[in-house]
Amino acid sequence: MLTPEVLGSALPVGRFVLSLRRLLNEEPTLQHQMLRGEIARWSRARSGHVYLTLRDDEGSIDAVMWSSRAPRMDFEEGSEVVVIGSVDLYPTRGQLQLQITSIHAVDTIGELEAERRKLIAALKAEGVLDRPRRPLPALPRHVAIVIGSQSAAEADVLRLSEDRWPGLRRTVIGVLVQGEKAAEELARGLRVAARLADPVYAASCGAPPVDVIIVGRGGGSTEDLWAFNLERVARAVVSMPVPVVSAVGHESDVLVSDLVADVRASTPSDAVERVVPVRSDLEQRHDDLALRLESSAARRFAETRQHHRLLRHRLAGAPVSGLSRARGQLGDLRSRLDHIVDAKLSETSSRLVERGHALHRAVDVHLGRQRERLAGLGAALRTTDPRRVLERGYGMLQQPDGSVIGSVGDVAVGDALMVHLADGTVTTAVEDVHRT
Amino acid sequence: MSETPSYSEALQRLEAIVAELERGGTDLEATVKMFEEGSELLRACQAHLDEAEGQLKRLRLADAEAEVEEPQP
Repeated sequence: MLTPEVLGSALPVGRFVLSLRRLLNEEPTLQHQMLRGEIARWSRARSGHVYLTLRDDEGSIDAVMWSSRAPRMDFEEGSEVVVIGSVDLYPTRGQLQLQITSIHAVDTIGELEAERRKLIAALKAEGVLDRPRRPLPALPRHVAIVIGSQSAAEADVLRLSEDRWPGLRRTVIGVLVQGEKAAEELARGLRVAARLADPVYAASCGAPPVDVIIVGRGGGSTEDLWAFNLERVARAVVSMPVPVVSAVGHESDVLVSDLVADVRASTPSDAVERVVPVRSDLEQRHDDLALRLESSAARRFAETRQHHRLLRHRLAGAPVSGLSRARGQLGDLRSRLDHIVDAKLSETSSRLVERGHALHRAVDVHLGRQRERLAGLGAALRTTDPRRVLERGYGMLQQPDGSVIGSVGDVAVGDALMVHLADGTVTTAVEDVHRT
Repeated sequence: MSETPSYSEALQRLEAIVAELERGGTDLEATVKMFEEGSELLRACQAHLDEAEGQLKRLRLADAEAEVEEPQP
């Protein structure tokens, strides 16, 4: 139970709050103070008063702007501002708040950031951000590079692209990439690149048209990179007739040029790696394909050779009576082989790449061998031709029914015989039979 | 070949030909034809590589604009 003494000495809370308020109001450092911070919350009541929260990394405070003092335009959350205000205590709720009498946007990123967001929103609404992106050419024939004039980034890009593709055709357009004129110069540089990409113009210069554009700069502070967030640059990127790679040296922030470009590279060097293939890699791939082309074709030729060998075997085994047909076949085969392989290959050999020559030589050697074999076979066939034997003075004996007589057992005395000579037939009779 | 194929088209066709020849079963006539076409495609691919070779130009913006004869804004 509290004594009346205790109760008498206890301060009513309202009085305490009011004395606290007086204390705050009389403290000069808390009155008409200029403060800098970011707007974390902004709400305008129906009364016209604006309730907001100011913050930075170390703290935050609630604030109010009476309708008579409130600006007509709302500030976006996240904007950097400088305010003039006094600390006050709202007695009925004991709430500490800052009463702001004037507010100003900080004339740096806070305001620019608002503009950037507005631009992104506009581009999105126009469908620019959702438009299909163009693929980079597999093989660039002419690369335009719009980059900081005489910058380290320019040197990097030139060195790296030269390493990857010695002698690659490049046009560097050196521009200002920071400061007030940067956006204008970047846009003008891109326009030059677009002109170089015009096939008609390029033809008049005798060079292939630009088929890919790299636009960028090396790393820097957010302010340094700001030109790449401006509408002028974004619109220029969007209007390019060929794919554009945005290549601004930064890791975290996404710039508007990154959002609208066909490809976003993290640095100018990264852009080169995406745009310029390593020539020696491609050549190695060609070599590999050439080798596979040759060896697979050679295998197919070998298969055909095997097939011909098979035919030859069948021919060798053909009966004598089928000789002329077989010879005809042989001639056919030979002429087909000569026609298809020899004529065709020799006719085309002059147009084939150097690598093909080895194969042609192999095919020619094979054909020579094939021809020799065929000639040999022809000779062999000729020696077995009975007519050739007859020319040497031999006669072939046949029964009148046409069966060939190969043994004395085939005849008896008195039988009629037909003797075939090289130039005709003699009919005779068996007078005697001797077995030797 | 009717029109000059792009590098990727030529390379793709060449790879298809090689794959077909490697699969086997083509007759002599077809093999010769494919080998011929393949060789021609290889030559075209190589020519594409050579086409990328050219001059390096380093121009300051104003000179670049003067060169393309674009009136200054």
